[in-house]
Amino acid sequence: MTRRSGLIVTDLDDFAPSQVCVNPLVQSKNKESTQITLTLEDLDDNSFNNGNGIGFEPESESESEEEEVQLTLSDCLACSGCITSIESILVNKQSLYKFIKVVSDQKQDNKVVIVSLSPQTRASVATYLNITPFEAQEKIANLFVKLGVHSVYDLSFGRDLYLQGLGEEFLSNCKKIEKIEKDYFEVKKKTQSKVQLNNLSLLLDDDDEYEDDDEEEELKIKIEQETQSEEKVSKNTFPTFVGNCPAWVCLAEKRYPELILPKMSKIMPEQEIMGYLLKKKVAALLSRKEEDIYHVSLMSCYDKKLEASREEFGTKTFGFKLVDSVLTSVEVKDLFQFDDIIAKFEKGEMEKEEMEKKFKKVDPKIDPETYQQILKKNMDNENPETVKQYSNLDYQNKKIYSMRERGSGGICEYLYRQMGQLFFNYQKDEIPKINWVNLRGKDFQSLKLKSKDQKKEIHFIRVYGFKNIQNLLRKMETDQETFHFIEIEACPHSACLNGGGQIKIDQIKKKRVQLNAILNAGQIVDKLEENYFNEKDFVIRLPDLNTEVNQIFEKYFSNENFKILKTEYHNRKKDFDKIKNPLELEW
Amino acid sequence: MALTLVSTLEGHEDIVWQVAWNGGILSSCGSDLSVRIWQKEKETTEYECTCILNKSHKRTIRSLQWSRDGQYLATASFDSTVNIWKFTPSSKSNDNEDSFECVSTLKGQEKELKSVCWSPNWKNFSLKKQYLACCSRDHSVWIWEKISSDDFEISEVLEGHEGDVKHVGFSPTEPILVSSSYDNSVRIWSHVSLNSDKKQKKGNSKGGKLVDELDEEMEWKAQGKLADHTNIVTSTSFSADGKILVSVSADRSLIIYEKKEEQEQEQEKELENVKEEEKVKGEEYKGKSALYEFSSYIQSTAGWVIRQKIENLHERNIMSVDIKKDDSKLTIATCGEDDCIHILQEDENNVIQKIISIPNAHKSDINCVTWGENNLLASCGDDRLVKIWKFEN
Repeated sequence: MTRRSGLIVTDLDDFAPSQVCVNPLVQSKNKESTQITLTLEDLDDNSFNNGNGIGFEPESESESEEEEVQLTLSDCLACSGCITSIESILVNKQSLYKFIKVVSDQKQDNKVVIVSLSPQTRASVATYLNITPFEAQEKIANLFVKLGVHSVYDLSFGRDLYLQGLGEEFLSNCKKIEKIEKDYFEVKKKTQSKVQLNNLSLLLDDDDEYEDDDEEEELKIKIEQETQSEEKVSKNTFPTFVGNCPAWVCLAEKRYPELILPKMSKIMPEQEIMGYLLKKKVAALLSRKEEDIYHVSLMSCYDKKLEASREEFGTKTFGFKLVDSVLTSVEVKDLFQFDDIIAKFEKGEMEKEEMEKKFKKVDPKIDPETYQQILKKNMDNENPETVKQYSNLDYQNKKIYSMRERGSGGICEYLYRQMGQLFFNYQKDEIPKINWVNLRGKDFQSLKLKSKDQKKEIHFIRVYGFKNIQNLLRKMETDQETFHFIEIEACPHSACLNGGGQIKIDQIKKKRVQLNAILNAGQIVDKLEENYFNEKDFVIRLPDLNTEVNQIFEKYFSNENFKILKTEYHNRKKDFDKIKNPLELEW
Repeated sequence: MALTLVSTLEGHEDIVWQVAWNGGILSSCGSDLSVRIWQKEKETTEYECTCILNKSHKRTIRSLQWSRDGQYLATASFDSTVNIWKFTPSSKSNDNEDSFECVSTLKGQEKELKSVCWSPNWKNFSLKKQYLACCSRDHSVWIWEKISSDDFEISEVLEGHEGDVKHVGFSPTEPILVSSSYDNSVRIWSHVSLNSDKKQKKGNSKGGKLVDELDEEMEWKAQGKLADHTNIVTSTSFSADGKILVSVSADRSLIIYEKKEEQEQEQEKELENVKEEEKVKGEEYKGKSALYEFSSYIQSTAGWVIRQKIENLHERNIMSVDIKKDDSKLTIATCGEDDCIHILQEDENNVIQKIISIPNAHKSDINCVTWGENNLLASCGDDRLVKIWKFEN
């Protein structure tokens, strides 16, 4: 796992000569070149599958842009093998340049662009511009509407829908498992099981060596079936892992598919749920087709771009893409910088040459002329009404409804309360207080929900960061404690709030110096957390009390429609193994 | 002054990669997937292979190290796992035989492991935990913490190296880890309690928190980088007082670093000044984004200053270096792909000079040299042999 600024494909060491591209599925046209120049044209449809027809959905337009692939994935789970060069291309296709192009060609292409804003990006921008989160929401909305976007929505609404879906799935699974095993949730005494070399869980081994090929096939089929069938619940479904962190999904699919995939929660993440809802609603509102709506979501990490291109969230499953493009907080900051530069130019404080130079410095691909033209076209756009719907915003008091949470959505706390009420039958005010216990620092915490008679318990775990994920998998191996629900987020310290796509601390510092609101690095991190939740700018409202969420859920996702929320995961280990040792050298 | 061959130990069926002493017991590991234990019954008898540990790894065992109390042996392999063996000597076991029991397997790194190292007992520091560091071709260094007699937890995953990491070593006197890599650099990592301990000792009232109070998500942090070699840095070694660090490289040179407290303080002050210029008083960086920047662009050498550089020490790649831990004069052993062993020592003018040269010490590349008790030096090589030498001063 590297946090290098560049993902180096041509590793020169004394084990393997330098290779042009690690992925054996891709052959660059120019085999003599030492630089990596891969474009979409180099790849055919088969490049996006891993051989068994499942894969990713690239952009439908084939542009002959000779873009050099910048293999920059600043995500803490990205490593030399995990993210393939194809995935890097997909991520780079969802660039700011592409967004500007779409927005300027809207009328020609007959599209309508909508944007949904995540609370993490909002917090990042609020810290950057030294404003309150509510003001940040409005400012971001205005910024995008000026560019011609139709409307801007609050993604925390999608998060509430996600939580509701997750709650229903978990409750249903827990009820089913109790029928099969009556004492599944009973408080057990800790057993001193020693880890024997021979008894190590086969499934955790990266290089399985089965003596019988048939046995291996049988096991694989069995696991595939369990992963994809909706009704079957067994011990293999627990503990349930969340699937809303794309880096974790990537790691699970590539390194531990047999162990983890049957246990992953099948509910699709919030940006996809929001995409589904918004596209349906906006299409109906404007009497258009869902395919004509272009949904951009503003998130705090680059891996969300990869998640958005998953086939399961695209045309093959739904007839339209749920999320067309993801922009990170850094790219939103770029747009604010463009705004500043053009404002200064139009006031006469900057010469044209300097303006163009500064523009190019922020993003060399975007042409200032084009940008200015877009702004002129949309000068008269006002902030339309629809943004007030499907949101957690209180426009009267200029506050935001939220739970008290740490940075990724308060998933465990929500489920704790739901299970307390619906599984252990506590009254709302009777539920015991949430008391997180540190198992190893603040990034590996445990929470137990005990039943009224103290005989049963549900064990929640919250894990942030790669090293703690490894520690967790190791704990699961030794089997001393049972876990029932695990919230895993790849980014340490404060999960999505600390994502790889958030505005960097030194950028925030610079801007704040300009604004005369100086803070040091530690204070900036504190401020970021404040802008995500604090007592002053936020009103505590639990997601289950959001009547709009309940209504929408009831109408679109309940009963037979619940399956719309469900997605699938696939074993991508074969891909990864090939890439790990492309020349099959045994050193 | 002489280095005389005392024993030649045959038995390994392929390249022998590393040797390690545990008192009078010598252990070796190699490409034949086995670990061999060599002992002398009495002073007058020959060394014998008293134990063979095989069937524990699926690929070459590249590195092995004994823990500070001699009770555990860690073996690291190209199969990306580390096995921890508990050693019960014959005197303490029921059946009068040495026994080894594999109590734990550490896994998770993606590629071949190159080196493993236990942490020593840091007497002057409040950190009393026992750590095991291992480094891999996936550019990362993992530090494991021993939490019980048979279990480990990951304390930190250290990233920052831009090439395969070849060697790791803990400082004998402070909670500092040094890793050397194919990116030609040596990186210095320190435990977060290091600064707190130092501040407390200096009587700084602001002082730091004690180790037990630290609630940090990061347990180990990047402290500095030494980029003085022009090729892969293959190995490093600390002196017994922790003030001298020696590194050897494929550029055939040996560099001796000395730790200067004033330098460290100066560099810290420099960093402070830079921040003052930006009108921001920086503290420790929290959060991944800031940490990433720090460990990528780190310029500080954490107080290490070059004392001497010896070029062309070997005619080919230098594979290993070890500083003798029990000599008043700085004595260093090196070995290389030129089949030679060299001994260097500090002279009257405090300059390190080569004093002994053994050409053709092995019939092929020599992979490791390590000092033991009683002026013994063990070496091993591609010729499948382990050799024990006696050093006379």
